[in-house]
Amino acid sequence: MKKIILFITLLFLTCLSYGIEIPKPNGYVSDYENLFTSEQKQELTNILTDYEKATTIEITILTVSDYGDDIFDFAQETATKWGIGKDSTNNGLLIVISKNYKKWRIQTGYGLEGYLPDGWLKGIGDETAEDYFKNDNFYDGTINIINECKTRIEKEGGYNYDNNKLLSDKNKKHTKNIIMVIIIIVIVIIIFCFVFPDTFGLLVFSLIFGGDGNSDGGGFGGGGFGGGGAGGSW
Amino acid sequence: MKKSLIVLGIGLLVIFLIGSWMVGKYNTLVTKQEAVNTAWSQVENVYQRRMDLIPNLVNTVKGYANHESQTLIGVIEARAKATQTKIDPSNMTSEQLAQFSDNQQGLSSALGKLMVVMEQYPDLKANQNFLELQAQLEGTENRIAVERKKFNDVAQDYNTYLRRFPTNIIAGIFSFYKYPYFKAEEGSEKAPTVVF
Repeated sequence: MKKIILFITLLFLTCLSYGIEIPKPNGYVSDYENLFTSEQKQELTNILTDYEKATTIEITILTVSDYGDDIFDFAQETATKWGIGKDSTNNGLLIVISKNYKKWRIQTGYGLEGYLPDGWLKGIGDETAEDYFKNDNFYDGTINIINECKTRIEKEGGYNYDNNKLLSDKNKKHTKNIIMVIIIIVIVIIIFCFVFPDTFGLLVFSLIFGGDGNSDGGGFGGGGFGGGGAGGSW
Repeated sequence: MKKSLIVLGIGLLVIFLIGSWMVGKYNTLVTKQEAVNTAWSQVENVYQRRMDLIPNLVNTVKGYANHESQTLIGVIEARAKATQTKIDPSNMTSEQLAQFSDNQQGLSSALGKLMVVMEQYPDLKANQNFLELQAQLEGTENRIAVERKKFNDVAQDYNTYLRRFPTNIIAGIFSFYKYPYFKAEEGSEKAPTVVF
């Protein structure tokens, strides 16, 4: 019994000392610093949900009073962990605001780097911080950033999901290899099941269908981030 | 008569089992190795991105700070040196990677020096193009840090799988080798930016 308690305590402690604290996502608007009223939160969520439905792009807002040592590391880790953006096109955008530290950071997924260049984002962010965040007007500021990004993406020819999907063939190769391995396994299993129907059939079925996929925790598409974006303070 | 058939059947089955196990291990090794190669090309991409920014940066700065040409030359030379190291990912040694990394670090230092010197030119600091380039440079340095880490992570995954028993037997038979890691460079954790 003592050993079990010791083990659980150690396990708990290792979880605590794990580095940057990544918050849990709360849909498209995770407002941990309470910068928005519930109506504003709802409005933002509606805007971002509609945008995702129209373009598959996942824009997400996160406000925090503390982000550890470095807002870049925080944004990069959070965006990656939450998996914002679609898996096949990496079209996620994370906007982090911290009123406490007067800092903002926008993180672009791999797939949006071309549409929203770092230099341009820096300009938009700094402008927004100066005109809105400085006056504690976080709602209008956030709306401004979202609208500017939307306009820019439109100007760059609009976002075509299918075109972007074809460009990521690294995913295609990955899928091909997995398919190869799966085919080999299936052939082996079928042969097994014919030779030893009773013992192996059941065992093998539970092995295949027992495991589960990865949990991304938040309902996002599993997109990746390469460190692109911009940040600033006010 | 029947007995020997059963023994033969079991023998064939055992061979078949071992064969399919080997195939599984081999294919996973290939998949993981490809992931490392992909991660490496990502690293090269982001370093190339930095290289591409430099001519524009040099030109912008030249207009304002001509007599700082020593620092500018430093950047141009460091860039040339960095383009020289080409690595073939399929047989990367740790010496090669260290050399590659050092050359890139040389460029980082040269850029850092340039940024410090440019502090003294308020006109340059106000130049829109320069500000834009600075943001892009910082973005690139961030990307470099991210891709280096991703490479290390994927290489670690592959190396660990490779070295475990009994996968290491298959690895040895088919000549799969360990990948080296990027080492943390001094002062490379943050981009060479200037805080005004």
